[in-house]
Amino acid sequence: MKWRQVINDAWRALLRHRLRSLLSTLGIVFAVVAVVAMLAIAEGAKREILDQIDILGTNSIIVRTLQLTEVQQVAARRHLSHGLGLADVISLERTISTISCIAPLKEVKASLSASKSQNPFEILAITAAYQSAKGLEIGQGRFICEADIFQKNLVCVLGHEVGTLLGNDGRVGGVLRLENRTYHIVGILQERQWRHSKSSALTVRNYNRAVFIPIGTEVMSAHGEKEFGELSEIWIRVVRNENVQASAAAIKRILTQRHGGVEDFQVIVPQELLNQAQKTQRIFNIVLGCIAGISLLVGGIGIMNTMLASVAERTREIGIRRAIGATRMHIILQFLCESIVLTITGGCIGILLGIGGAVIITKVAEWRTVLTVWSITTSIVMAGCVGLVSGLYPAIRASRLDPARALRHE
Amino acid sequence: MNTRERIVEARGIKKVYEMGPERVEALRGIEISIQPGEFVGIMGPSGSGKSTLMHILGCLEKATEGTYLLGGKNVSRVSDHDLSLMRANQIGFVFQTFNLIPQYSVLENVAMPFLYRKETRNEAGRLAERAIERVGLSARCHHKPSELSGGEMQRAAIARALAVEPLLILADEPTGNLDSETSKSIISLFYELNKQGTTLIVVTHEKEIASHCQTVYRLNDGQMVDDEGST
Repeated sequence: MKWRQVINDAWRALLRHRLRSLLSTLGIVFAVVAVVAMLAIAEGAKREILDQIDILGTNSIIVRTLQLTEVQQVAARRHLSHGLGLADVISLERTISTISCIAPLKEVKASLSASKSQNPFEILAITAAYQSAKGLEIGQGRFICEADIFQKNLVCVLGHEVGTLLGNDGRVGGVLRLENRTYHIVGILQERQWRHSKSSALTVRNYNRAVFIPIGTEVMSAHGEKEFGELSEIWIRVVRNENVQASAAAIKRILTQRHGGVEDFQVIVPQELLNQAQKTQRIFNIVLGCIAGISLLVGGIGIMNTMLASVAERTREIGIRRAIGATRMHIILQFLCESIVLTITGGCIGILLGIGGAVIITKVAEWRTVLTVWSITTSIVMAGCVGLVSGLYPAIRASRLDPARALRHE
Repeated sequence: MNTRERIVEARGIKKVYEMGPERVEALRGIEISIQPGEFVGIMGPSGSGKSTLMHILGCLEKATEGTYLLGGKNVSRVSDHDLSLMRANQIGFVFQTFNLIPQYSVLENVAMPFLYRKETRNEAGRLAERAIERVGLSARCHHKPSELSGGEMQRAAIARALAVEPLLILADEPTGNLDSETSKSIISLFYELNKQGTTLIVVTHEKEIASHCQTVYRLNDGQMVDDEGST
């Protein structure tokens, strides 16, 4: 048996009925589109999760102030809670031994006088610990130090993009006006990789567009009163991954106690969120997998139907081939080859459409999608297998035809 | 003549078709022996069992009873697979309705038997071209069957049968679908091939063909009526 010729013959047989071949392969096309898109989204989500683990670390816990309504704030104050504060940070650090690093942060709502950019910079009041906690790297000058916090020095550190956008004003030694205060620029950060993503479960700050000031130097609100919640966020790292759950529970307990039973904060464990994201992803995979499975089944039935029609139509040809020496196995292989060529062609069309689909998903839904060689190989092999399975019965049927009777077939 | 030197040696061939409760005896004890280079005619009215006999001689069907030696090999009890190999290597068929594959060119049709043999692609092409040349169809090599006349189609079919250089060529009513002029040319082609040494068995109604045959077997109702040797 000469495979090249057999495949060539299969092609020609399929091209004889182009429309029929194309229509019968549609089920396979849809199934492969679903599989390629599903695997691309799953892979994208997996990479997203891994990236987040890289950034946040699996051993981190985030405590965030809840945005309370005014009524809730009044109720909270009645219980003597003023939201997250530095006192909470000190208390947690003293009580929980598994904490290896704790870094409070306050998002400051103040306008930067030099900012002409449409997208405003984020002003973050932090302690010195924030640098090591987040692994921020200094490009020029220095970071905010403990002394700056104690002495309430009016100094600031700029994110890389802020420095660039401010031009001449954005250099070490320059000044920055924040509301009515003048801050001296003491350092500029190195550029940091950051990618905006809608599909992520956590917001990751863009430090390139941030201005860091020592905590306690930020201006009060317009009325001079303290805003509710001294801090926006406390970032905590525990010693080992296994401690995360227990530490998070302890943190919650201590803070609830300190806030007079008011839960005006939220304890976020990235590890849990990532698990949640993976669970959601799994459901999505099951749904798409079912669609792919049903399409494959329907596609397979379509292929079988086409192949049975082809066998019936070509009974005489089968007789001729048998008369000139084809064995039953030759006939089986010829028809199997046809159905596999048909499904693999459908698979290839499906892969192209799937790639297009993945690109559209990335553009429209802003979901990260990643195509891997593995996903494409899987789709092709799957399409080939459907061809093999659905072509087998028609092929065997063709091979069982009595040659003498097949030759007489009109 | 010694049995070993005979190409075809059939003894007591019977063929019974079971159609539900009915038993149809298509052949009832046929005896045939054919020597290399012989031109044999099988004649008889419709339903006399000519085609069944041809199918058995061509290894397309097995006899219900009897012994059939082809080229010295007993093929009465071989497997379907071995029958296919016998057809691929020892037999060439020519049919009344030509039986060419419509989507293939003449060359591809003639080279088709090589798909099931060991020859390389180049060798197959060369042998097919030579067979096409022998039947005088070289100019139509790359035409599709639909672009050929009836006579040309039959020539292409003869070339396909010749290409593998079989032990014998079996032709079932080869001129049945052709006009008298074309029939004559096909008959003379058979005659030419026979003169070059090809062994031929032709099932026919045509007296003209029978007149070229060295031996004519006459069948009636599944039995041999008599056989005349014209040599």
